Amino acid sequence: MKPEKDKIKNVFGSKLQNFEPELPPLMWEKIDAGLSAQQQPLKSPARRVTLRKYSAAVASIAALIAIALLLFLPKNDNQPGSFAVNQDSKPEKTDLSQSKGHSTESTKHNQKPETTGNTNHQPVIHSENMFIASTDSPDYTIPAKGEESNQNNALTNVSKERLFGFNENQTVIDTDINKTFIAENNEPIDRESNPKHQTVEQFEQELGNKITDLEAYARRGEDLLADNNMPQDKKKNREEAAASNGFLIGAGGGGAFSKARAEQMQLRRVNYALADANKESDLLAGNSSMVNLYQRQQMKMKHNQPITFGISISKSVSKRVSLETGITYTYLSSRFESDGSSNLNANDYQHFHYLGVPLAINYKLLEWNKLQFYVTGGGQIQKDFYGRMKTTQNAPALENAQDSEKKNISQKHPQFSTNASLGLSYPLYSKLALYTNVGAAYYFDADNEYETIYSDRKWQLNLNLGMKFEF
Amino acid sequence: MEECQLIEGCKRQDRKSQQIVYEQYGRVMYGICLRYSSDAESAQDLLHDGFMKVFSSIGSFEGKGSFEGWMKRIFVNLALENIRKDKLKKQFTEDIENLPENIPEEDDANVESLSEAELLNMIRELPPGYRSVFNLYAIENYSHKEISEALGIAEGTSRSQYIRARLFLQEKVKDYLRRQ
Repeated sequence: MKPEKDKIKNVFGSKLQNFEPELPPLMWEKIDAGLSAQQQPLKSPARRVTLRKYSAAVASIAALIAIALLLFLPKNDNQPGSFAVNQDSKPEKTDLSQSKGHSTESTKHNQKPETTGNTNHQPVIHSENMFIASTDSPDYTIPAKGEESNQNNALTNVSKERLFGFNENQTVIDTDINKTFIAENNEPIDRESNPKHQTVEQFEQELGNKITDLEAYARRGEDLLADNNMPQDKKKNREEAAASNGFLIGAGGGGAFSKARAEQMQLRRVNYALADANKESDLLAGNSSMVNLYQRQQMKMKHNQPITFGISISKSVSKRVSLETGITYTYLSSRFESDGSSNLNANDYQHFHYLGVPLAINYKLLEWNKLQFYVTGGGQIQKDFYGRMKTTQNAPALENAQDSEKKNISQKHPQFSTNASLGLSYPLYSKLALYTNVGAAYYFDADNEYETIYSDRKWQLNLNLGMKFEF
Repeated sequence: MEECQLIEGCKRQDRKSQQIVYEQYGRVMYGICLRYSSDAESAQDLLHDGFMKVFSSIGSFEGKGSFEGWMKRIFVNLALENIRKDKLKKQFTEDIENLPENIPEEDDANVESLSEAELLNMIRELPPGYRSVFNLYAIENYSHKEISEALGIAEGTSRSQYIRARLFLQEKVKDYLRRQ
């Protein structure tokens, strides 16, 4: 199309380009009223300057804290997100002179368990990110048959300790080991007055029943290893599972005190190992689940990266300052695995679904075209609304010695955190903006039962990308 | 009062200066509003919002170009922003139907006899998308490339919409002259 021949364009352009119709009535009054309303907040410049100063100060402090923490935060020796904790003290050599005599004949003797040098065994001290599956093997020997109940105490404590060191009762159990041995050698513990021992007694009773069953098997001349298949009525909860697995382990040992030939052979192996604690590796080759009692077991905990989705809205309170809130959903998952150093493998997988409400203050540093650079400081409260844990335990050396359970879990307390970040946003359409920010968040100790990445990594770097609605 | 004094007054939020600016440029701006709006009420809303925008953004006017041109750009951009919102509401894609393939051009003399108000009414009968393209191309002298960028449409779409808008207006002019 040739412009000179575009008459419509020429006519409309020439006549309407500077067309000046009459202004609508009262339009200026409307504009005047609008301007007055718009200028109302500007009538107190002192207050505006003060607010701006405060906002700038808060934002600057938050940014400085974030930078300082990022630079000077002490580095953790453990690998971030994945660590294994081991009680590094080696099992002390025990006076096994009497234990050595524990061959087939020794089971017939009543012999006091040795507790040499262990009465001062210190309770395990747990750091907040330590995950301990076992403590040192306490010094003791296998008691004779007549002392099964004493032995059971030891087995109970040790088994629980080894199997469930990862639960919240770890410290209690560790301490109980000492108390148990002290009690056995010195003075009895008033179990009635100490509810912590209630479960131990229950466990003793259960274990005693199992051992009775085991002996019945042995009397029938069945193979000792078949005894390990006994616990068909596996309990569902964690404590009961502990007892069940404790029995699995104890069954080998318990069987050792019976009169079956196979068990005698096995017991010799155990006693040989006990005679030389440095030969633990030899024990690993053995089939006895009893061996587990003398093995240190490590558990590895691995926290997966949290996955968070959220919706946020921000409200401008001045030209540079805006308040931001919203709702976030976070998925946390962690895996706990034994490291294979023991005949017993335990694997846990836990996951939590969290909802959170953040509150932050944004301070706009500068604006280039439509791109805005800002700093943010604020906090967030989060609470889990659903959690699940799957526990799998097995002893590869034993047939059918596998147990798994699933259960719902929840944290008792809400999780608080604070954060500071640098960000930029770009308006996509109208009041909808695309934003990204990078910063650090600190998660306060919520004193919750289940360990998560929040409890084990207090400081976390955040990289967020999303959209927000500004009004 | 000189234009620069008016601008300085507006930057100080001086209401008298703002009123003078409104009275001095209001009619031209209202003409723009009428061209981009489909009815008088929308045009008045646009006029109000346009002056509010002018007075709130006047601090960014550096005095390097024409003050009137700067104001016109604000009004046109505001009108286009409203049209983009309409585009999201699917109003932008409204088509012109029953257009003839070709319409012979009218004599210049006959077309020149049409008043501004009559031409304006014809423009306002166009669907919003076509009206914007026609306004931008025929009156604001934008190129089709600039229009495509301003409206977020393809350059070819701008070109074809202008041709169809022109055919529509030619038909309207022809009808009007026939009735005279």
